[in-house]
Amino acid sequence: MKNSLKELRTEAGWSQVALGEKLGVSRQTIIALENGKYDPSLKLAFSLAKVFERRIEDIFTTEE
Amino acid sequence: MESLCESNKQYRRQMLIWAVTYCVVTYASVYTLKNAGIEHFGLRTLIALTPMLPIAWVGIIIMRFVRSLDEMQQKIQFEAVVFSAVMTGMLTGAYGFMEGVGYPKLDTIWILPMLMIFWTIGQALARRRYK
Repeated sequence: MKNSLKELRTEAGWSQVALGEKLGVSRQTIIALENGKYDPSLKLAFSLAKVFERRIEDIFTTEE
Repeated sequence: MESLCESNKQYRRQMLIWAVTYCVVTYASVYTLKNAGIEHFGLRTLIALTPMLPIAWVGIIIMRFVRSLDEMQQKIQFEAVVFSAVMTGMLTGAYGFMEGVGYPKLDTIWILPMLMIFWTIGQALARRRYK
């Protein structure tokens, strides 16, 4: 799955640690999410959507 | 909710206390069995089993720590535990068959350290997948 987390985080001016703290996850998890190495659970995807005030499908897209 | 960093620090602190406790209890158990002149079989068995108390305690510490981790870290732990179980199972199984053809008997006390070593290797391998 592709995502625009890095762009959204940079746009918001947050560090990976800061975003991790907002979501209650580690920096390693943020790195893995941004690099597309880990697909989040539905719960974490909803948390990300809430933090960035976007819809889940605006953040995550399936790779064709 | 406790932060991940705080639970990490707490885990390390608890593991340090546990390691010291385990060494003291194991040493005391072995020393007592060798030097106290206790001959009652049941009592000797109880003393020999006292290191199992800190081992049970470390199980609780690890379980609490894993529950405090986020979902990806838990997945890494799960993969590491599966790797450890498979490797330990394969190694002990293979050696069990080798004992059948005359290899010396392997002490079962080595199974737990083997599980821990493979668990550590499994964590390193699983972490690499998510970098």
